[in-house]
Amino acid sequence: MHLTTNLKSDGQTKNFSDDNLPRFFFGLLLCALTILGNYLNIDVFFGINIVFGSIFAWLALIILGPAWAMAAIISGSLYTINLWGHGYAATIFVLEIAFVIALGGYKSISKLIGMVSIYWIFVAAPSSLFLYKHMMGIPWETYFGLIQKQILNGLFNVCLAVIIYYLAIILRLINNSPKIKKAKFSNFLSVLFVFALAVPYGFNEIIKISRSFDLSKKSVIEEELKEIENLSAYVLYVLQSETSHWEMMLSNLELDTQINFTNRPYSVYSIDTVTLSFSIVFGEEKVLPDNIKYIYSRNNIFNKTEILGCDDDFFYTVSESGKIYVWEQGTLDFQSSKEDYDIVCSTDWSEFKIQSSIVPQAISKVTVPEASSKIESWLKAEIYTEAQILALFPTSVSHTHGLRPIAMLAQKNLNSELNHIVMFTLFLIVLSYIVTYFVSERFKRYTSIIEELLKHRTINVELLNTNLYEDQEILKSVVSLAERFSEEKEARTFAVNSFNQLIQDTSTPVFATDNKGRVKFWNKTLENMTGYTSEEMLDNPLDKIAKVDFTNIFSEEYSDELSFDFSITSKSGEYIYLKANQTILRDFSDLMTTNDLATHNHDHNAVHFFVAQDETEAITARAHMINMSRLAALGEMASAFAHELNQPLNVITMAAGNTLERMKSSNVPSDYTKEKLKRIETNALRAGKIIKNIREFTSERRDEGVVAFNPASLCQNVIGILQEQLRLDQVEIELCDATEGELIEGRPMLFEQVIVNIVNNSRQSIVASKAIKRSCKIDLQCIEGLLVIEISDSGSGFNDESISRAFDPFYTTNADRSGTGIGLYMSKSIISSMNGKIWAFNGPNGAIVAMQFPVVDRTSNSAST
Amino acid sequence: MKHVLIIDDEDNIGEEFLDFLEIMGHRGHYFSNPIEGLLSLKENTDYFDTIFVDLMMPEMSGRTFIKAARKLTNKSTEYFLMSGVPELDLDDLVNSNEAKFIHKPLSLSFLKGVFS
Repeated sequence: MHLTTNLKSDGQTKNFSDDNLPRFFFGLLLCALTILGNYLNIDVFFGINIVFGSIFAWLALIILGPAWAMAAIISGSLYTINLWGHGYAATIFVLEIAFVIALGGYKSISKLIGMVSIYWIFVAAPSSLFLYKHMMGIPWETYFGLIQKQILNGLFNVCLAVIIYYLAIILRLINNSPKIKKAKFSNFLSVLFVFALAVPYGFNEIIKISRSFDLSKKSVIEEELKEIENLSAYVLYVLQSETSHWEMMLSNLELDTQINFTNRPYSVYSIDTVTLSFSIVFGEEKVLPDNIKYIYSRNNIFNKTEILGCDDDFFYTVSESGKIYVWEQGTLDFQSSKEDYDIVCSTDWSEFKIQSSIVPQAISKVTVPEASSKIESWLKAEIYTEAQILALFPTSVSHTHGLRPIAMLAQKNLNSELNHIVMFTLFLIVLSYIVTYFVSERFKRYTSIIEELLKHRTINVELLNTNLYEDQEILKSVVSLAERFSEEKEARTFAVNSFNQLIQDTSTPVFATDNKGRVKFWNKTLENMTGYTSEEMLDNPLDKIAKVDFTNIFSEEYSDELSFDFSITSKSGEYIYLKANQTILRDFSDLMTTNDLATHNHDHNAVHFFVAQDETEAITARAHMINMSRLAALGEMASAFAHELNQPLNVITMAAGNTLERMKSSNVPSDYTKEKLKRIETNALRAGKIIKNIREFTSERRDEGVVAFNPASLCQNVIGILQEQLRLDQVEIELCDATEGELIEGRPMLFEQVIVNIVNNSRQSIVASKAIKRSCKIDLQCIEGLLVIEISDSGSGFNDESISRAFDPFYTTNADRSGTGIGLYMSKSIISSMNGKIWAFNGPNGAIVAMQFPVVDRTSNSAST
Repeated sequence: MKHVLIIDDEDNIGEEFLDFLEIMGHRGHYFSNPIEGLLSLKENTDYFDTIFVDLMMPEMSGRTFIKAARKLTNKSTEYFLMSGVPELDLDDLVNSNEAKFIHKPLSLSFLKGVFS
């Protein structure tokens, strides 16, 4: 049968619009099962039954709702009236369901058991006290045993109902509400938890109690048997003594054989209960014993009692049927019986009688009267014991012992044990609620973690169904995954925080830009270096203060290994040279969540992180080295410069002086004057040009940066600068340019310095060699995409040491002529920065210094010198 | 009238020197190549009263020229070493009165003083 449950996890009533007919029959079935459950009750002890009807009433409540639950419980309760003979239990059962419905406990399976517990403790127990104790008058012991049994019975039934419900879902006998979350299977687990612990303990205790009671009964029976045995012996002794007395007493009487007195004694007297006078019935009157006394008798049928004889403690009677009775004296109370006037004497819960009927063997049995109230039945229970006596007449002795004292004692013991079970069960229920709460919290947590995982990873949602086994398997995986995820998340958070702290506080300049070169991060070190605060820089283009073209840098596919040099003009106007190495964080928002970077990273995913290296000092130092090298070269050329400049000045001075002198003495021909003035003009221009060259060479011009330039043109400039010195040293210099105007890339000023250094070295080498032929040649040509410059001279060339150490810093072969040893070292450094190479070796006439540079592709770079 | 020899690798200077000497009434001879000047001295050892030599020349420095010329001329011949650059190593020449050092550019007043 497939039904849709009435509840959802936290229980909202569903409509019954679908499958109404099956639901109707299912409801009827549950009502019938409720009756049947009570009919098939278990009689545990002392007339106390465990009934199972309410299990189905609870199922009706869970599955079909309050109406069917009330119908079922009323049906079942009617049977308990028949079962127990009173309607109090039925009232309590109906109230139980009504209480839960009224408080809304039925809306949530998780609250159901708690509601039932509350009902039995706070409602049912006080109500029962009133009903059972005061209206039925049962003893306290019985009441406590009864109410505790009912609490257990109620909790057992509702727990069993929950288990059956979940089992039905797991076995797919009914359909779970789609809104029941798998997390609510924790209810099932908690109920199982209670059952797993409480039921074995409870059953064990109940069985123990039942066995204890059986043992008590057995013990009582054994005692009774012993007592009846003793009594039989005593009675036998009495009878024997009495009959012997009778034999002697009646020895002269003749037996009236006409009357069938086979089973009668020889003399029978009758007693008038009114006058208490004796008269003989048969036999001789004189044999009337004298010692008959203390007789109180009443015979409602015949108004007489036939007395055979008596002793101090017992007296004997005989009935018409021939039975001989011996009565304990003192409490004799004759009553009638429908068979005979034999029975009925009671002495404080025990009675015994002697019968003349033949009893084959001793018997014993426990009889529980079918009282109207079974709760009290055990209080009226008794043990009946009967034994045969071999006397003159076949006779038996029977003894009946009431079980009320032992039943009360057993009920006291039972209450104590039941109290343990009830308290243990309630404790387990509370414990299960606590456990369920935490389990549910964990389930909720795992649910949220699953949702979080689904955001980042793909999980097969089909796995998240309501199958308990799969849930457990998923739970294990989720727990494992969640723990790992949590650890990773914590580690990532820690790493991000550390990273933020690191890049903020590091002494290294760190900044970040987006793809358009707009600043997204600016650390404190940069703030201190540049004077620009982070607030001033954020979202502003970096090239506003930096000499760098980010458009070109980011125009190509991003490279994580991008590295470039650039300079920043600080707020105070100083140049700061930086070498930046970048790292790209593409999914930046995933990593950064709570910092300025994320805040300023709304519109671009890729953030370029640059860890910069402050090269200001290095570049300044290198500039100083280059300047030193330049000054060294300048020092060598100073004489030549001075001489070169003074020559035209001297011409100008003398030409002007001569003209003035001639003008003093006579008229100066105009041609003379014109010639002199033209000479003055020419030499003045010549001097100006020399000054310009010197100024350009010696001035610390601002570095124009890396540009493409024509090396041949710069070589020609160098020759112009050095020409006077070379002329004075009679060194011929020649420039052979076969490059067709090819360009190379670098800083022109530094390249010029390189050529000056090498040509000066050649000049010095030539002068030192005393060579007859004094020549230096600068040869430029392009070979396979490389521009090669060879500077050869007719000097003495390199020796082995100077070849190997030519580019070492401060190594010089010209120390005696103020050589610094930094010229070739700086030349190599400069050429390396231009991606070029330099070699030194000996040629056929002297030294050769060769350089090569990559040629600039003119199609992509139109810049030139 | 004095006979003056001028050795300077700059022709304009030599020409202006000759013009000045002409104005002043002296006779001047100019060689741009010091070697040629020496050869002239060798043939006319007592002819020149005053010799002006440029210090820095490609073929021969003024110092070398003077040292060589002194051996050809008599002691009364007056030598002037001209340079626009102060040369520290000229002390031996100057101190021994073998030559006098004059700075370029030359002023006519200074030259007048020399010939006065």
